[in-house]
Amino acid sequence: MGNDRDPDVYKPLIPHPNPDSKPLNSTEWSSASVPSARTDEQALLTSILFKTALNIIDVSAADSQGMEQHEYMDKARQYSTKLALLSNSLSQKKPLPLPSLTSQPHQVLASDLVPYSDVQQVSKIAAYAYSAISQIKVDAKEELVVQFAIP
Amino acid sequence: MGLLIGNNKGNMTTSALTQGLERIPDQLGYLVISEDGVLASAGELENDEHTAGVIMQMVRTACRFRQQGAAEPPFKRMSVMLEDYVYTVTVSGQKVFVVKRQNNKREPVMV
Repeated sequence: MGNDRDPDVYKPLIPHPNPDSKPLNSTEWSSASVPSARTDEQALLTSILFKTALNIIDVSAADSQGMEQHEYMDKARQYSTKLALLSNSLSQKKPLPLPSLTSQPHQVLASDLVPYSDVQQVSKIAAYAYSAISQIKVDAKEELVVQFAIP
Repeated sequence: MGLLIGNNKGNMTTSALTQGLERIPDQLGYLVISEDGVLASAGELENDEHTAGVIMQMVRTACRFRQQGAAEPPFKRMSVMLEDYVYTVTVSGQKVFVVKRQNNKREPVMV
C-alpha cells in the first residue's frame, strides 16, 4: 500500500495530517522546543489513525461518488451482456460422464465381500478420529479485550 | 424376474447385463442404472428408483476421488455396508451395476 493509488478511486478517509513531514532525527528533536506530552500523543494517535484509514475501504461511505446517467446505463449494459454470456456457457455444462471402473462388472460384484475384521478396524479408526476432533478446543490464556490506562 | 424400465442403449442386451447378476449366489436383488434411468431391476431392488438415485449420487461423488496425481478413480467396487446386507456397486460401460447381497459377518475360517 502506498501513495500510488488512483486518487479518483481511492479517496482517503482521513486527509494526511502532515503531508511534508520528515522523520525526526535526534538533532531536530533536541533543538526544537520540547513539545508537550499531550501534543505528541495526539500526533502519534493521528498518524496511527491515518495509517489505518489508508488500508480500510469504507463501504458505507456517506457521500458515494455520483455517476452520470449515461455512465450508469453503459455499465448496466456491460454487466448484463457479460451475464448473458456466462449463463449461456453455464447451462451447456453436462454432468461428467462416469469413468469405467471395470470391464468385468459381474465378476467384480460377485467377489468376496469386505472382511468383517476390516470393517471393524475402520470403524475403530473412525471412532478415534471423532474422539480426537471433539477434543479440539480453545485454550484461552488471557483476556481478549484489555483496557489501556494512561497514567 | 427382471423388469425393464426405459430404453436399452448400448451393445449388450438387457438379459446379457442381468444374467451375470442373477447368478451371484447370495444376491437379494439388483439394479442396472444408466444416465437416463433404471435399465433393469429385480428382487428386493425391483422398481426401487429411490435407492437407484441415492446410489448414483454416491457413485458420482466417489468417482471424483483421486490418489495423488492418478488419472483413474482408485477403486473398482464400492460397498455400502449395512447391518444385515451390503450394496456392492461398480461402473462399466457407462452403466452402474448394484447388487444387494447378504452381509455375512462370520469371521473367515483360517486353515
